[in-house]
Amino acid sequence: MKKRLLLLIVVTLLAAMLIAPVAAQDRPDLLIWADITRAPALEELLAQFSEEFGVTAEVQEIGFGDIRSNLTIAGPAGEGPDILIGAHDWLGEFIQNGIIVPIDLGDKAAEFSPSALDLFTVDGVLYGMPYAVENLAFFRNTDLVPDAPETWDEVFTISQELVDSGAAEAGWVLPNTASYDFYPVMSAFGGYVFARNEDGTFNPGDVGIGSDGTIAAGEYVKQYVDGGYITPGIDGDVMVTLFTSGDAAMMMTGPWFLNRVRESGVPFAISDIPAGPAGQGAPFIGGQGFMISAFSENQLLAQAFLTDFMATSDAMLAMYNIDPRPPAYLPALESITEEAMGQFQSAGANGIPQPAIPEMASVWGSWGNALQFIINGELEPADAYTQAEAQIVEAIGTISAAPTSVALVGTIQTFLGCPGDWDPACEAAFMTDNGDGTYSITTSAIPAGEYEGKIAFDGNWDRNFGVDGTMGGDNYMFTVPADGTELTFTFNTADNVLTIDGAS
Amino acid sequence: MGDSGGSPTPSLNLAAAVQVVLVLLVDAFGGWLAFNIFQDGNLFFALAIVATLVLITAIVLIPSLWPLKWISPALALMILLSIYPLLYTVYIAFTNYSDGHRYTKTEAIELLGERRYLPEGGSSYASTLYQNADGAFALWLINDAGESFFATGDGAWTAVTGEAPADYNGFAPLEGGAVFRALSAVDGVTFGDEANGVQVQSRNEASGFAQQWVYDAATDAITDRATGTVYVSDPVLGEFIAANGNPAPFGYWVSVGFSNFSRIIESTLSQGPLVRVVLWTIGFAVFGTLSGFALGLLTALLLNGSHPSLRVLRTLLIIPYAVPGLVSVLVWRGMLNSNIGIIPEVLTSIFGASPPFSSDPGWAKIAILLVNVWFAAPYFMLIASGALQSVSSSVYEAAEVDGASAWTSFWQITLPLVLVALGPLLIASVIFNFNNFFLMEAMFGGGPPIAGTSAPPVGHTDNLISYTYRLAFSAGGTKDYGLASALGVVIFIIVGLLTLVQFRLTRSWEQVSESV
Repeated sequence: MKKRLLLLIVVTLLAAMLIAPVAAQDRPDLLIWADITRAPALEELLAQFSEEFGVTAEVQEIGFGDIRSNLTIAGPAGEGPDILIGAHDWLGEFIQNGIIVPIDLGDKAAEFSPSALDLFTVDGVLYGMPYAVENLAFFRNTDLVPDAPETWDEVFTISQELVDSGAAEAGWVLPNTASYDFYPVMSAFGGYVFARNEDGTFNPGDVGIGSDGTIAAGEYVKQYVDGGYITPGIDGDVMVTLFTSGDAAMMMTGPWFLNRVRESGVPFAISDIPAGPAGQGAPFIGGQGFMISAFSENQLLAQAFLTDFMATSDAMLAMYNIDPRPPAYLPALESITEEAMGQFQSAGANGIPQPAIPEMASVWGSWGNALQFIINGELEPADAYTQAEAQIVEAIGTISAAPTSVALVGTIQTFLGCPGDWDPACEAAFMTDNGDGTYSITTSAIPAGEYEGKIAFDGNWDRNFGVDGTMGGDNYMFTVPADGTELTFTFNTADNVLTIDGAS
Repeated sequence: MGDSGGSPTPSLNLAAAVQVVLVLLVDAFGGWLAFNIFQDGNLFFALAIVATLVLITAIVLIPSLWPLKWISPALALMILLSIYPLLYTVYIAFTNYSDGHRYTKTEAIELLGERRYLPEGGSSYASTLYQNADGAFALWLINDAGESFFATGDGAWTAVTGEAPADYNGFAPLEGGAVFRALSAVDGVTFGDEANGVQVQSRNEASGFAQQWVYDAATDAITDRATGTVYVSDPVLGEFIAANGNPAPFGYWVSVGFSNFSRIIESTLSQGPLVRVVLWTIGFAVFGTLSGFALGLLTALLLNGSHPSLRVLRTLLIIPYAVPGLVSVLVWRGMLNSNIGIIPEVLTSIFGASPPFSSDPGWAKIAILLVNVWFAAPYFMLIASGALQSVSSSVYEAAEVDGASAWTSFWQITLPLVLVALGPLLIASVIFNFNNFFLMEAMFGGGPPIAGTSAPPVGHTDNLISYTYRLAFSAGGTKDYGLASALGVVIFIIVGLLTLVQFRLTRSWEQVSESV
């Protein structure tokens, strides 16, 4: 009898285990995921919100990196949040998997800084409500470096003087595998990561890691390595430790380390990024903001919460007080008198948004490794960066090799003699190589009317270029005025743009 | 039914009946669950649940299987939590499950179908939300031209005039918090009649939004009504492709046969560095374990005894094993750092220079092996101490009488007998170190990078598993679970072969112990 009873218990437990996950869980009307630096501020705000509007709202504290990875799993399973706080460079992956929905700020959009809104806009659609914008600025130890250096050459001279005279162990230091931290130096010498299209979006077909500007920046760092002023083994933590202990005189960092530098007691000052041959160094601008999950059952409520409650000075300042990052909400920013925030803003005035396209994820590893090869003395800057670019281009799948064929594809192909439209492999539509980097095709066989077209390489769709030279971009739309008009299509491989003469 | 003989008594019958009823309930519920999961497109999970149910039912109903009842919960959990994930991983290795291909076709169509857009000629209104005593909602709408309408949730659309009144046909406007609370209830509800349907967009806006993506099963294509583009589904690629070659926002995952495996073989053959990674993986597994074992055994031999001071020393030497691995590795990383670490400082003050641990490939490997010894030695010391107790002293006495030296008695007696007990643990340790992702990743992140590799970047201290991680999750921009699963299968095969080797060796060691 005992044994049977035991078995009954066991089977019941099994049944309970199967049923339990399905049992209805008490879920608040609004669930927000935030990490440890922001959850405390949100808890207070949500308590206010719940009281004022009678809607149950809760924040769940989850590690910053975990929010990103858990959302893609929990969301579709129905266990995800309604709103999450994340960085703008998560957008690429989220949009690729349909995980977040666009946000409509309505009139409130005018109260946010335009560059902050840009960070969260992809293909013209806004996917997040920014609340903080951050970028690197130049920190110096005012005992060792009384005046702000204006150019990178100055930085080098100062470093040399300080180390040679023994006043400090190091002048300017940067992390060995720096990519994000190295960008301001690169941009001062003319380097870039992805070329920007006219509308500000990034073109993953044009990678600038191996460009002359980047190599020049690499040569600049090599000066330090040759003179022994920068040694291997420095990472972000080590850099800040060296600075806060007074061993290093200059570094670049963002608002996240501001408190640590202050608490160390080192006399410091913040200034703009020094300039190089190509102009003032520009840091990456990153944004933190609220996003709405596509799997939320309360999307309307979430939108209303963000636009009507969070987009106010009080709420934004409450976030700022707990986690001091320069606010993206203009009324809140104007009411902050702290000098450091203004200085970060000034350093970021000419900054460019950190690319959030999915291809960016392939860049970091190779880009950082190139700098390490230079600092280890293993490779010359030219080799290091050329190799890095080759790696990145291969990872993205865009090969900079010359195309085997350039075809004009579109609704005009049947008139060119092709069996069908939109056929990248049709030889009658192949353009001739003019030998100077341009390809062209001339025809008078297209009757009057409206047509669409674009360019495809290699007889397939892997590399196709649309308006503005964007890979996979929109079709060119053009009108042929009359039958028999001579049309010349010219494709320039320098910028991948198609020009049409004779049509409108 | 029962495990004692004799005729069934009434109480036994009742218990048996209750068991059968319970099992039937569980079967019914499990069957419903499996069916729903199958509807969502997850065939394998459904099959796993069905297998578990069949197992449980068979155990209860078939008398000869009745003794299995004691392990049935463990079996059920093992099927659901171990065997199913294993088989599922192997299955995923043959698919293109990755970013952009995260959903089954059904899920992808559903997710796209939730998107809404404002069609041309669709109208937008400023709206006020109303509710009547029964809890039904309605909207007072004003468009740009100033015309007002009243729309209810059950299809009424009336043209009205003037501002939103305080009462209309029993409906009263909602204020303040009540509007917030109502938002979730009115989300997706269409107000008004067929010709003028609107949906709530925010607290004070409503528009004639419609479903943007519509799937047609007959043509197996999904249409974006906002642009009119038709995307035909391509079951080979797992995408919806338009006529001009552009894909829909995301696709679905499909089976791709052996293409993941051929990618691995191609990159192995074309990449010299990958051979280096394999060599380092095997080398670290073997040397790391052997060095830890050697030091552990040595320490156990030295501290073998019952003197109190020896006991204290043994306890102190367990500490590295007790400290959490994450903390230890980070502390070691800091200590070995060329700029602020204490070890280079000490070495420089003694020898005048210190090796560059983090930037030189050779020294990085040595550093990792040394840190690993620090972890592994206490563990081996612990188990070696235990194994040493099992060797009877009479054997040593006999050896002394025969004139054996200390070295001979160690090599011929102690070591073989210790290996009998520790052999399987040694092999298990080798296998663990083969897959030691954490140490490689946390110490130097794969170590100084190898120059000149094609994507993704490989480091000198990368082992197979950290290389897999980088390949599948951080390098290509997209998270490629299919490729990662394929690599996992390859590693599993290698580890499986090692395990087979273990069985052979264990058998031969047992023969040694039998002959002593």
